[in-house]
Amino acid sequence: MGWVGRSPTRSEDRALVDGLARFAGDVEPIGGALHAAIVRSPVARGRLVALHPGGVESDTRGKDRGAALVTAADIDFTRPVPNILTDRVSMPLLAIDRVSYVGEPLAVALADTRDAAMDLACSIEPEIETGPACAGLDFAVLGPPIHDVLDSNVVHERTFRYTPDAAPGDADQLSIAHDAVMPRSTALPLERVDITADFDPGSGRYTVWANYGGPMALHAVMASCLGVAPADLRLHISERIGGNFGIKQAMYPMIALVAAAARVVGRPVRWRETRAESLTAASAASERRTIVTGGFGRDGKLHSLAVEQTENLGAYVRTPEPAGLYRMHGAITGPYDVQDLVVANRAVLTNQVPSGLNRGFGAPQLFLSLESMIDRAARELELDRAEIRRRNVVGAFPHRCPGGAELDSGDYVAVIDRACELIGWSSFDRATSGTRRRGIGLACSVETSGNNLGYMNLAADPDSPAARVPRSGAGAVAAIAIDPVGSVTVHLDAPDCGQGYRTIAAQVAADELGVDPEAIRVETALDTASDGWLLTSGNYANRFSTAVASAVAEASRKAAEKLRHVAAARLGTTPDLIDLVEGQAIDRTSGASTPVLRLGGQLHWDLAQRPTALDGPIRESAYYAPGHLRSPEAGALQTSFTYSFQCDAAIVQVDPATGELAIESYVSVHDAGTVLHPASFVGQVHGGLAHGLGAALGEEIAYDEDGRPSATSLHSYAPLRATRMPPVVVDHLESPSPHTVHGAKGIGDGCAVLAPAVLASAIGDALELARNPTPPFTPARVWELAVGLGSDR
Amino acid sequence: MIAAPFEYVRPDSVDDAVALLAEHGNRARLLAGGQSLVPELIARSTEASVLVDIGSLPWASPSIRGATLTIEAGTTQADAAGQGCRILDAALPWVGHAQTRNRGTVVGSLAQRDPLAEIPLAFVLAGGHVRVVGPEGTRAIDASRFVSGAEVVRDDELIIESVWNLGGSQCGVAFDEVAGVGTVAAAAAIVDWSTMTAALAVSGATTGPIRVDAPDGDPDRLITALEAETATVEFIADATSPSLHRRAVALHLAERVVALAQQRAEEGAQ
Repeated sequence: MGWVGRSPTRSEDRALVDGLARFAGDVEPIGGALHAAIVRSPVARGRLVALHPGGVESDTRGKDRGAALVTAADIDFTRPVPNILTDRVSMPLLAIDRVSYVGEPLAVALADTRDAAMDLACSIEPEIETGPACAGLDFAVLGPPIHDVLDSNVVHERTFRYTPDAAPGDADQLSIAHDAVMPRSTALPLERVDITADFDPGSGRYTVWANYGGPMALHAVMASCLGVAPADLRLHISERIGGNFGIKQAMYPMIALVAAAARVVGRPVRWRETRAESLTAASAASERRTIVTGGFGRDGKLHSLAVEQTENLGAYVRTPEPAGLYRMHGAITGPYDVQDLVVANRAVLTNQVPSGLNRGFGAPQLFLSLESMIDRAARELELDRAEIRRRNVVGAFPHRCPGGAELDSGDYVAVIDRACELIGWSSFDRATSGTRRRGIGLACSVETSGNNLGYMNLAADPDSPAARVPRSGAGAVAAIAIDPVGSVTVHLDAPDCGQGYRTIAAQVAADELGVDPEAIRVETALDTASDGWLLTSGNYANRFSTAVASAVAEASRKAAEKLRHVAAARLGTTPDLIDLVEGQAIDRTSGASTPVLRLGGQLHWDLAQRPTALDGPIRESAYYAPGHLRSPEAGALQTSFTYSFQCDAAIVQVDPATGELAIESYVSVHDAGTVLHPASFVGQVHGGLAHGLGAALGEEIAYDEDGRPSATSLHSYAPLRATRMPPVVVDHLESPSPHTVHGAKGIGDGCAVLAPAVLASAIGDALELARNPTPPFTPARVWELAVGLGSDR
Repeated sequence: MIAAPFEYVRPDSVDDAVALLAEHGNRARLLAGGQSLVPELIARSTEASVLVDIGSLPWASPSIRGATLTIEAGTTQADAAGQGCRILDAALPWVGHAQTRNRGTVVGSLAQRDPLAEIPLAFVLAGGHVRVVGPEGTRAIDASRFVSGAEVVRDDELIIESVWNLGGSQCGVAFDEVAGVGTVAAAAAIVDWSTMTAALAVSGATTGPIRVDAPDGDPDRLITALEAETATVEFIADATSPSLHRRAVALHLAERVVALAQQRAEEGAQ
């Protein structure tokens, strides 16, 4: 049995637990850096008249040799962030004349220490003529534009019809609609953004060190902002990132800003984000209204689906948005076998921080509405909620969805059955001893893994050249090398954000080389100038277990093939007769053997004796890009390598007198194909659940009518506490994917996507509501539902 | 964020601290555990040009004197637990987190008089007094007058101790709370069979914790008394909860804690 599929102790965990692991904040990549603090807009909208210096000079900490203020005028060599929807409004690195959201950067304050930089930043008094803010999705559609150059806040509107001949509203069809608005929320990585930048005036090149987790497609965007070729922006990604969850993607304009500031002052500049900035001024999962309408036969069979989405992108279209709106497009029908599909997408601008990646990017919004609609259909048709799903999920694979996705493998009914069995679906009794109300709920989803950038073709104006650039590319690159003493190093194009990449990559390579994983070091730091990377590299979109692990296997296979050649020459046989097992290269016929890694090391010392098939010592790289992805054609978007399936179920108790909600039990059953490291798999499920429950229970970023965010610190933003984590049962069925080396499909988003929909289902059941409610399920909200006060938003 | 510059002074005695308050007036803030003040300073939502750190004055540990527990200004919430005041013990697990209770002080929480805080709620229910020291000497403020704000601690005074009534031997207490992003409301009750008294207090009202005493010591009449007392009282509306919800929660929690305190008093009597 190989190493893949087992759970060896994770090699990276000891240092993390002991507090010895090094993060960006633990190192000083370059000496002599000035520290930066960002002067930000205190209001959501207005005309920026001036930045008045305060009295900081009189303070001892302000008497600073390096004290400087970098304003928009100082960085006029930069360009705003390009986006695919409109060139009339682009996000500037520093606000020019107008401010459009609370927290928008206005200037960079620089000083020799971080304290002094903050004092300087806090002393600056922005003079802003405040204007009326647009702080919500509905206002954005109807209200006046937030940017004067626009006619409307609606910056994107496209409809996709996949079966134009279908007659909506067949006589015997029952039309069921569900309309829900998913509020904004964010992720809370323990480690915040940390950027150090340097500019070399001699070469005109920038060097940046940052805890940036990708996608690397944005490297070119940063370079564009700085007005240089991507090769002139050398980016060093730290070896560890203390939590990413997609949210750190939003730092990329800040990388360009810090780099531009370094050029202005002629010294390296370092900026470290504060928690308040992370909460209010970085990014958020988009607020989205999703109206899902299903056409059902009397037998509960879903015949048609219409999905109408309105996405709140915040004040600017910050690339890669509107990717969130399109990430699920290919599989917008979810796990359901329905070919008649209409999708109407709309994106609007509001006076809120620009939206971006957050675990499950774009999927929680879809499944909240889709699954609530299915529940409602079950009620209307008097069908069991699990049964209506069994009747409609895809049964034969591969399955082509109308939106373009290929669902690669699975046994969806078996997963639903298992979840029902584990939660006790059929024997559920709603009786309680007191006045509390008990309810049960479930929801299903498919989970995309390893995405290409094909969404851009669908989002771009169909007449623009951008809509015609082929964009099928997705994949990963990995490298493996054996040094002169036989040590093996594997390099990944995915930063380590705590998921156990080092351990798992070592397991994968160990299987191919026939050695122990402990013999293999895994490097996750990335230098764009010298390491292999791709447009899609990074820590996001479930690409590790699918693309990265496959690339590691392919690179390791190349290395193993070379080792077989060397061993064959040494043992006097042919490479095809060599097995690599337990650290030995063994001649299958004679039984003679030699230590495999020593062979790799010896190649450095004695190249003259190498077999003719070898060009030199072992330093291999391999790309993994399965051939089944295509650039979008006719509106069909084949975004992802693989599709996992998941069914979650929960039992809740609600106290109608107070709105208190208790999650009695939670079951999560997945089919993520081959599991590479079972303990890490369970960890991903638990982590995703905590993330999803947080969003469902109280992690709302609301805005008041003046566009001020509600969540400014952890006093006013409520992530899930450990004490509220319910007992959770995790199970897994395994249908390997044909598109990855190991058959693995992704697991990283999982419960973060589905938990809000599952709780909506269970609370709707407990309170016997006609339609599932919308998060956040705070005590106040649940109480309003229980007493019939709450509008369903 | 990082705090704006401030001066930090550590007085050697209470008199010293009083002198510093007199010298700096409202530019000074007292620092004890710092679990509320320091985050506010860091966020720059509060400014102080002088911090007078009274945390390391030679404060005494909690002590029982007769039927009261004295908790001085240096005692942390963690150290106040299990010292004999049952209603305080019932309230403390709801205060902040274990980490903040290790540093935050009981008196510091009282001094803040947050209308939704648990410690003032427990204090108004237990009864007792705080002792304050100022330029004119010391004085005591009754717990209910202190918590309601009828009698306030001036800028040039500091609270040196809180004295909590302990209740009788057959005393049952209960504390319960509903929280979302912040506290919605809390309720606490004491049913004391040894003195034939019962009292109930709830938080959530804009005016701070509300206490009612059971007419004729009959705990079954507490809820009616509370309903009468709160009928015209406004409850706080904020991002956590609208006013109507807060009132509903306070009244419901009141029922819960009265029932539980009665049950515990009965168990204690057996």
